[in-house]
Amino acid sequence: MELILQGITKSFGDKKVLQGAGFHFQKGNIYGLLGRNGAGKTTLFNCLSGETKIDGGHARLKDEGGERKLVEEDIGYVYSLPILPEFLTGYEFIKFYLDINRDKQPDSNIDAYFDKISMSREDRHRLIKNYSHGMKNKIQMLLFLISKPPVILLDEPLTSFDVIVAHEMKNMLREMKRDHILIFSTHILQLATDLCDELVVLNNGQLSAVPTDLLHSAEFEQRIISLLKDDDHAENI
Amino acid sequence: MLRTFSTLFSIRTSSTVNRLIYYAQMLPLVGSRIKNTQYANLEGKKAIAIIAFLLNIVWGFVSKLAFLGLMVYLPVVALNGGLSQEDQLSLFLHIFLLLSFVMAGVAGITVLETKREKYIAVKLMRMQPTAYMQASLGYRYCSYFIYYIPALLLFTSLLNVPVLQGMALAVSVTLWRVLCEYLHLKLFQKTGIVLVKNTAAVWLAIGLGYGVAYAPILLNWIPYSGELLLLWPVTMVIAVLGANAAVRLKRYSEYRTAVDAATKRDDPLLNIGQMFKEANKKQVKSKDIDLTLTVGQSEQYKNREGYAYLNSLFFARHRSLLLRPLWNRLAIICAIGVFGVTFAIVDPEKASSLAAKWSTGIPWLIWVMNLLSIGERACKAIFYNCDLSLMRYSFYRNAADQHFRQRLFRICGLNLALAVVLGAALTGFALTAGGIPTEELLLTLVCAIALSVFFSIHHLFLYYILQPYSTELNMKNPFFFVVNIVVSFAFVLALILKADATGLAITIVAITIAYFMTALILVKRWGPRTFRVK
Repeated sequence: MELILQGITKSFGDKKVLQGAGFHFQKGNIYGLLGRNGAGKTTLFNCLSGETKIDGGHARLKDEGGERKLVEEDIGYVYSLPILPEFLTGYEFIKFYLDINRDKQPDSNIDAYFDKISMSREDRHRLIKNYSHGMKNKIQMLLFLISKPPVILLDEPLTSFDVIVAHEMKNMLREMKRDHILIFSTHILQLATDLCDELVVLNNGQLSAVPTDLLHSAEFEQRIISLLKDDDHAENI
Repeated sequence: MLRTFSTLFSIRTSSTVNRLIYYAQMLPLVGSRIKNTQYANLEGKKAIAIIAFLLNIVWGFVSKLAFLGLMVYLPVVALNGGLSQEDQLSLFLHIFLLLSFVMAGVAGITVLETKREKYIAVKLMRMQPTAYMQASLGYRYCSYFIYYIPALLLFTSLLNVPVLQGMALAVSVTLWRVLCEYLHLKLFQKTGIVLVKNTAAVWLAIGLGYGVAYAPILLNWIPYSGELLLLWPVTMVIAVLGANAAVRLKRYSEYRTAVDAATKRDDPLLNIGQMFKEANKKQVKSKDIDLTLTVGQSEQYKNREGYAYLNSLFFARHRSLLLRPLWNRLAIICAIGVFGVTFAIVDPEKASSLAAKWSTGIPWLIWVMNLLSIGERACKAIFYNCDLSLMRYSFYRNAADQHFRQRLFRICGLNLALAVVLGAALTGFALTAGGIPTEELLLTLVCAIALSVFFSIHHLFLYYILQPYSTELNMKNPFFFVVNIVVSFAFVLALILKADATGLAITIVAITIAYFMTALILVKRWGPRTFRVK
């Protein structure tokens, strides 16, 4: 399975955020999308998920059935600040989600899903309103374990997680990459090297791959900094 | 002080210019041509600054004319047509005294007012508080006096007051306000009380001020209290006290404490936008007690599935938000119904004559049911507490028609309860007063019920198709207002056409059925596109 982005453009007024961004993402890899603040990482994700309309270009999904246009249902979007209905308990929300996704999975054992994300029985029946950031993120991930969208976008994952939860999440992502195309945006280099199989840089509205051998080399950080630094910034320093 | 005034003036002008550019960008057709780069166009902004300054001056004069004309002069001459000029003058002066001297003396004070500009100038730009306050107060009351002169001269001359006395009024009101500024400052200095922040005191002053000002008009009574303002000794006393206060304000040394009291960083008045946002959210926040009743509810609804399950839990856990306004409305309707029946028993003649006009009153049901409908409140509560989070998921947006139907039946149920109780109240009055044909009464009830369904569909449909709410619960979609105006116009049309009961009932029922079918189709077709977070 492959996610193909070609010539994606998006502008907000005079500001051109994405300028012909294109890349091929493969299943089985975790991709780190690296870019400076305001580079357009979230814009790219919003364009792919359908939150924002693309001005130009296209996104297509290629699998055994052929190549087709990417649709909203193909995307699972994990927000850095989880957005969940707080008036429900975790259990109720997952029950609701299972009900509306009956066609996608044979297992309707809700507790088995909660066991996968190591959530205690007591926490399952608490209101989401009282969940910690990590617990909410787990619920978000659980949605995509249930509905299994081909592409999962993670916006700044692991932000403000404690060590244990961060470790659990990383393991979950490594497990999930087998069946999904995982792309996470970050500007934390260490996370990128720790978790991702391939690094993609978003700079000046375009996507470019970072050579895999550079990922674990000693000059990685310097090379990335020089890649992302613009000319004005370089002169001032 | 002049330098401080110049800086202050620059801040104000820059803010006004930027605001003008910002709002100009929102104008249809023209707005899109105004780019954000205009904010950096200093030459252009200088030109706009001159326009802004002139507009400010014009507004100063216009606002005083409008205030005196609409709030003071017009009520006197329009509502009490048969009065002599002397009586009109007495009334004019009475209202002017109450509004501009008494009420404004409590509520219209700026020395301790929480203002963003004060915060920016003193806290952020490190302007000396004394210099700031002197410049600010000086400018305010000099311009206040200048702006008032033409307005007062105009309206007092219409009431045959000599020019000199008109001018004296301008001097009196200005120096009185200066005196009040000083008194507020002294009160704060002695007791630490910032009176303008005491909401109860301010609203009491406003309420009493307006009440006492306009009561004579309603009671057909001429007060002579205002004529004090035309007495030269009174003018002299106010002038002396006011001038003394001005000198003391100039020499006041503890402005820092006063500015600190008025510019606390977390003061909600410093960020009016945030204040409205919080107020909007408070309106739709569920009580915790609703949310604590979780365990039983989970079991109670476990046999429901999907969106039926979701909505059952939502409505159960936001009971107070949705039912409290319903109970309030039901209580008001019942109270009015009881009053109506009692009135019909106590004064059957008047009740009969009222009942005779029954058919002309039926179109008013459109307005009444729109007012009573809890559809809009329910939509706001649904948006904030449920949809704001779920709308971001494509599966939820794509199933818009499913949850639309679920919610429509629930909201219809709530509004129908209102219609039934309203119908009962109207029936009670009709049967007690007598003289209303049964057919007309039945058609009224049909109208009420159909209208309750209509407004249930209307509010929910607009919510799904126009999705008017932003994350701050502000209304962002102008079409929302346009559509509501059109619906309001229907009410006006029914009044103008003097629609009869039969015609009105048939029209309302037909439109409701058509609206229902249209809403179902359009939500299914467009909902996935339109039902999203703005």
